[in-house]
This record gives sequence, structure tokens and C-alpha cells, in this order.
Amino acid sequence: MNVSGCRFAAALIAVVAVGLGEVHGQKPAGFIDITNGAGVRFRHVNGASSDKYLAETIGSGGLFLDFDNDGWIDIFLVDGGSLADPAVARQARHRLFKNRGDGTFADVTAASGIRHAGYGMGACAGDYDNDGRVDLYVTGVGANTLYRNTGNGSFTDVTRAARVGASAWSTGCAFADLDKDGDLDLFVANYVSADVRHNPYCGNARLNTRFYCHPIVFEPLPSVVYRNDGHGTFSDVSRESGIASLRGNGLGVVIADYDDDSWPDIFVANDSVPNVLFRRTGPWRYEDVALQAGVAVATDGAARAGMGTDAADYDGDGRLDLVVTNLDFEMFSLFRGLGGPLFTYATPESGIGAATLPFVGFGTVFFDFDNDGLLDVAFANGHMLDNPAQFRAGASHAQRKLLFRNIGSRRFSDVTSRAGPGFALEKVGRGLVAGDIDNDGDLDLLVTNNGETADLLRNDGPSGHALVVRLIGTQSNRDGIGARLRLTAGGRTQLREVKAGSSYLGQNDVRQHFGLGDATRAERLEVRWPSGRVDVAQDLAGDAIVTVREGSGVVDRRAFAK
Amino acid sequence: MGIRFARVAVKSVDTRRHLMRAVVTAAILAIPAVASAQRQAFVDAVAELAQATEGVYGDEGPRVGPALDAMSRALDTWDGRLESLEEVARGMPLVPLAIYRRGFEQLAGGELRPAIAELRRAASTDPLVTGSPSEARRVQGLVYWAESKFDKTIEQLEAAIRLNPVDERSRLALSRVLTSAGRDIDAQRVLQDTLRVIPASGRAHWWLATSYERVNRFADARSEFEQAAAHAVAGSAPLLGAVARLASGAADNAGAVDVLRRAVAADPANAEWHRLLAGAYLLEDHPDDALAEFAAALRIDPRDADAHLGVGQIHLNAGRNAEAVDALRRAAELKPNSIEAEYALATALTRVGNGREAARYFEHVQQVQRQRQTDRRRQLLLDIQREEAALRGGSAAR
Repeated sequence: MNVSGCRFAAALIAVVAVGLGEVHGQKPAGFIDITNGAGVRFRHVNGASSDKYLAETIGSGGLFLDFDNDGWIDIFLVDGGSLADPAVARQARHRLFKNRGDGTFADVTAASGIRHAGYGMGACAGDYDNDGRVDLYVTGVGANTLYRNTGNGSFTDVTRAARVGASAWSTGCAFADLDKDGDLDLFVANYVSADVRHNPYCGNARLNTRFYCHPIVFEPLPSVVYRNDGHGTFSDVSRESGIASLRGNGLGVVIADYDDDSWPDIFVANDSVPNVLFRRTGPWRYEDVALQAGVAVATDGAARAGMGTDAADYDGDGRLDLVVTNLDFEMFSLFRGLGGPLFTYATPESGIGAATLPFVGFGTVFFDFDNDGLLDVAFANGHMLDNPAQFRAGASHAQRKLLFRNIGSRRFSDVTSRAGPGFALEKVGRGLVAGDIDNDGDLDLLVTNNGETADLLRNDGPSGHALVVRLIGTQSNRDGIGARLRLTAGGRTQLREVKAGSSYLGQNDVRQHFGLGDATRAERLEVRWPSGRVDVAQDLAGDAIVTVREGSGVVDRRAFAK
Repeated sequence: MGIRFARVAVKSVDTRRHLMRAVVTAAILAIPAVASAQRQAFVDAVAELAQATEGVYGDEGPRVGPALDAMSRALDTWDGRLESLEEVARGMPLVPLAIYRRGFEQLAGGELRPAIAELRRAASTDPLVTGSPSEARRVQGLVYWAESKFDKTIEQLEAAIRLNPVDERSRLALSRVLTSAGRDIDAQRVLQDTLRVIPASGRAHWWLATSYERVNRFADARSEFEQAAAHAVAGSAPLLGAVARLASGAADNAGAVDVLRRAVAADPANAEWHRLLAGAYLLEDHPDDALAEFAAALRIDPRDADAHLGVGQIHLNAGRNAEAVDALRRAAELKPNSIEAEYALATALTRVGNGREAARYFEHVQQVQRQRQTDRRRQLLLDIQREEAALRGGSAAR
């Protein structure tokens, strides 16, 4: 076919595609890979070696945060390292990218004071000292680091002084005000105890085929919870709280009030052992209720390989639901909240079951990509094994991402093929977080990939109206982590809970995004702060970022940058 | 009947001894087939006949004649009770050699007289019966195989094929010998050649499918199983089940549903196909269809614990908690220590407010989970020890 023929064919395909979209009444989405153009230059160093250290395939994550409080969310990417080769390890470097607000990012790592150490895994961000500047916690193999934001674009390593430098293999983390005393505490999931000096050989020696070991080969580790003492220091209260009594291969963490008792509960996605749901039973006392709640295992009573996780009310019934990514041929797990501490395994009824069978899922996020007022869900995928075809024919290391559109009635529709070129990229996906990088009112995505470049995917799909809410706590923690927002627009009420840590080794933009669909205004916005205070705003015009200060209501409104 | 035993040019004493034994064995083995036919147990007689034509190992072939003779003699008392060969081959596909296929199809269609005539005609061209020069080579090769002389076995079988390129039995034997020697690729090549020469060889498709699956060529295996199922005169359900398994493995659940529907149609009295189809329906989020299939399985076997479990889980997912408790209690009773049933039952009991009883089941589920985890870890660690020992060149851990 000549060039003009190609153009004709492309045009024809485009016409047919648009026509199909219209026939089915679905808006085509468009996530565009802008990574290079935006200046987000980062290639994850996984240190992959013939020794097949498990850490090489687990990381790493990344997050959205506004470290300089300029109203434009920035990017932090965790780099891995190498357990086999010090020279490779030296190439690893975490990156902090400042959002210039013009569609590009500047690498400000050098000036930030953030230094790479050990083998990086994940990160979470929260203003633990309530000074109005978001701080950063980075997990890794053997060393975690707390960076205090000093306010001039730089961070200071305060790990030792804050007493939060756990020395295990840490993965997911989350800040939350677990005791509702107004400052953020810290939960850190630990994975397994893998001694690099005695790395087991998993595979077939005769065929000279080595695989990354199954995590169950190693000793599981308990998670760690740090109570913020309020003076820049933390206390490890894992033992007395009951958190340390359970060992698991923890990866994803999401803290939210699942039973609606106004106290945060902690969900940990465990790899190949039952997930845990720590429910508060008293001051700094927790018990695991995951099995009874129906979120520990799938319907067959068997544990899945839990990787990433997120919590949100996807069906609009006012109860939080959970999603957990799993291995291929396990299906990803969707747990629909029934009220109280009970969930039902909703994977088959949701439409994500069969569609997720071929994928090894990691990052996941509930987000309303098309601003229709219904929470959709996306997944970043990539195999654990770098040679999976030797294990299962047809399996691939790099996999495409998945986007499921919420079509109501508790069902999702796989719209990946119409999600734009950003979703067509096949990579070894790990982290996936959402945030509005260009303040235009729709949610963009950041994807981290093992051993590869990260993907910054700008949402260019046509979308309805929206409202983004930024919280400033006064009596509660400064970022309003744990606050519950109920927004009513067009007769529909949507629920959000502010979280600082979710998905896989990452964290979303903490500003809360609400799609309004055709509605141009929200009838009501209610913010229930962790302190118990409730602020209500009526008749809010959409298509703006509004700031709600605890006790003062809406204090700022900025129209979307269109 | 007039079928002669193969008069082959026997050179080896072992081969002669083998053939003599075959003749004697045939006489003994024919007795049940004859007896079956004479007492009008035609299903059994046909089963004997089907086995007789297998002929993978030489001494089975002579059973063709006596079985056909017996059936022929019994024709006068034929009362049409042989409705389908499905009964014969319910658990085992009947994929005859290409030359016998038409005869078996007629048998399956209840056309007994034409079937026997066709089988006689086919037998008259069967190298095993006619004494084709290739047969001596094949038998000689099989004797060598019994003595683990692989090179000589292969040499003889290849010679047999050269002498008679349409000798399906020799080709199949060669592929089996190569497979047993771990030469999967060579075995596949033989089977591919067989299909070029004898396109109607359902057995070549079948064996090629299993060979492809062994070397992880799942898509090709699926295609060959489909072909084999198409050539099955009866008992296609297990072959379709293999197709469904491969479809599921390729995450093609819609394909699995489609092929399991065909398996159910081919063998509707087998609860397993109904259960598998129900499971595939559940993955496709068709709970009503799944419920119907589980119900069909329970009509066949009311004590089918897995079907009760499936029914209970569907009720549970639909919020019909009381119905779920009933079905899951039955499943747990019928299959003690099934944590799948106990977990679902505990969940249902929690939802109907019976927390005390639920706690008992949850506790047991947790115990079993921990034990399984421990066992799995122990097994993985043993595997590691074995491989590390192999890596060091030691054999202590083997």
C-alpha cells in the first residue's frame, strides 16, 4: 500500500472506531504518553542479575506530591539498585521532578537533598510535623528514610532522629492519623526476610533455568506501625498494638475507615498469604478481621498473591470497597463493602474477572477518568518472572495496562483498547498513581516500570465537568488525611476518603477529584475531618480547584487551567 | 470371517516367539468379546472390538477377527440396544485408526450390518491382518523396544514406514517410542508426517496434541485436540475437556464456555462437564447459567459436593444467604475438611448472624491455610535443596 493508501486506511479505521464508540455510547478515552516531552527522564535500575535476587523484580514505586506548595503536583520516583553489583547499585538514584506548570517537569533531585541508599522500593508522603510542607518516607531493602521537607525545595534526612529507620525489607507505606490526635502516624509493610548472602537457587539446575523464587520460600515479616509523638519523633508501637503479632508478605497498603466507625483501619495486601485487615479495637490496639470480613482470601478460601490495593466506594452505596491486584490466572480481587466490617468477593459480578486472568497486576487506582461521576479502575501489569515463557508458554514479562470504565450497576467494562496510546505500552508495570498534573480537571497517571522508564500519561480524553478539593487541616492533620468527603452533584452523592499511601508502593495526589458529568455545580460538599468537625459547603461551581480549610469552609477557588 | 493372522517374514526368534504368544493371547482375549456378543452384551463386544483395533502393541490385533465374528453371528438377535458408542467410550475417547473410522462411525449410528461389512473390508487392508512386509518390521521394532534397544527399535519402525507409508500403526508406534526416549520434537515430526500422508489420522492429531502440550505449545495443542475431537467416533468429551482446559490456560474463558457446552452435549450424563461449564459461566458472570449447570450435575449425582458448593457460592454472591447456608452445609457435610466449602459456609453464617458457628469454621479454615502454607514452603525448600545439590554436582539430595 502506498502512503496515500495508508492514510486512507488510517482515516477509515479512525472513522470506524469513532463510529463504534458512538454506537455504544462510550466516550473514547485518550491517555497520551508525555514522559519524554515533559522531561521525566528516569529509567529504573533493577540490578537484574543471574543470581535472581527477589528484590530485583519487586520494585519500585513512585508518587504524586506537591512538595513546594505551588499548587502543581510534582513527581517522586523511587529507584532500585543492585544487590549483585556495587557498580550497578551506584547508578541508582531516586528522582524528584518539579512540575513547572507548563506541561514540563524539572529534575530537582540534586538540590533536594534526597539521596539514594540501599535498594529502593516504595514511598509515601505526608506532613507529619504539620508545618504545611509535605514530608517523604522512602522504603527499601534494609533501610528506610524519612525526609523532612525544609521548605526551600530541599529535604533533610531525619530518619535517625525520628526513629523510623526500620531495617527490614519494607515495601508499602502509608501515613494516617491512627489515634486522631492531629498528627500523622506511619504504617510500614514489610515483605520477607531474604538474606542476600544465602540467595536460594530456584529453578532447574539441569536445564540451567533459574527463576525468581516464590516469596513463600522466605520467612514472612511483621509490619511496623509508628506512633507520632508530636515532637518530630515516633515510637514503634507494633508490638503493643498487635500489629507485630502477624507475619505476612506485605506489599500494598491502604488505610481507610472500612467499617465506618470513624477510626482508620489498615488493609495490607499480602503476597501469597492471606491479606490482613487490622481493625482498631481500642487505643493502639488492633486485631486482624480480614478472614471474617471476607477480604483475606478469594471465594475458594485460598490466598492470592496480593500486590497493590486501593479503597473507594465504586458502587456509590456509601461504603468503601477494596481492590487488590493478583497474579495471572488468579483474577484481580474486588471486594464490595456490604456495611460494617463485611465484604463480598465481587470480582466475577464486576466484569473485571475474566479480563484480568492473563495479567500479573501491581499498581491499581480507583479514579474517575472520564469525569462521569463514577469511579473507574486502572491496573499496571508486568510479570514477576523475567523469563515467564519458560514457565508458561505465551506469558510475557512486559504487559499492557488495563482500564475498566464503571458502567454503573456495579459493573465495569474493559476500555483499554480505547484508552489511548499510553495504555497500549507494554512494560513491566509496577506502580500506578493518579493525579491532575496539569490542573485541567481530569486525572492523569504515573506508572513505574521495573527496569524501564516510567510513564507519565496525560488524560486527553473528552470529559465532563469536575471539581477538585484540596484540604487544609487545622485541628486535624494538615493535609486532612483520613477526612471523608461527600459531594452531591446532579442528584448523585460521591464518597471520597483522603489517603496518603495506596496502590503499589506509591501514593495518589491527595487532592480529591470528583467528576460531575453534565452538572456544572455541586449542590453540596461535606467534609468530615478526622477531628470530628464537619464542614459543609453548598452550591459550589464546578471546573475548579477549591481549598477547604478545617473550620473555615471553602477558602480558595481556582478555575481549571484549560 | 476369513481374517488371517499376519504371516510376516519373521527373522528374529524373539519376534517369532512374540507372534506365537500373540496368537495364543488372541484366542484367550477373544473369548470375552465372543461371549459378550453371544449374550447380546453388544456394548461390551464393541468395546472389545475397539480395543482390538488399537494394535499399538502387536498382540492385540488378532482380536479384531473373533470380535467381528461374534458380532456377526449375534446379528440375528440384535435388538437395537446399542444406541450409541458413547457408553463404550464415556471416559475414554474412541479415536480409531483411519482405516477403521468409517466402520466405527456406522456402528455409532447403529448401522450394524454395514458396519461389520466395512470393518471386514478395512481389516482386509490392515497390515496387521494382511501380513504386509511392514508388519514384521513393526513387531520386530516393538520387541526391541521391550528390550530397551531404542536405536534398533527406531530403525525397524522407520523401515516399516518405508515399506508401507500408509501403515498408521507403525507411524504411531515410532512417535511413541521417540516420545518415551524424550525426543519430543522428533516425535512431533513423525506425527506431522503422518498427518501429511494420512490426513484422517485422528490418533496422530491426539498424540500430537499431547506432545505439543508437554513442550508448552499450548495453542498448537489446543488446535490438535480440536482435530482429534472431530475425529472421535465416540467419547469426544474428554478431548473437548482438554480443549477447554487449554482455552482457560490461555485466559480464553469465552472459548472454554463454548467448548464445554459441546462436551456437555457429547456426554450429558457426566456431572464433571456440567460442573466445569458452570465454573466457566461463573467466570463470565453468568450465574443463572452456572446455577442451571450445577443443578444438572446434582440431578446426576445428588451427593456431588462441588456442585452443592457452586450452588451455595452463587446464592452467597447474590445475597441469598439462607439458601447459601443450606447448600454450603450440604457441601461441607459431603466433603469434610474442604476449606473452600467451610470458608464459604462461615461467610454465609456470618451474614445470617450466626457468628458463633461461623467462628468455628473460620478457625478451622485458618488452621488448614497455615498447614498448607507450611507444607508448600517445605516442598519448595526441598526443591531448592535438590536443585542446589544438582548445581554442586552432588546427588545426595536427589
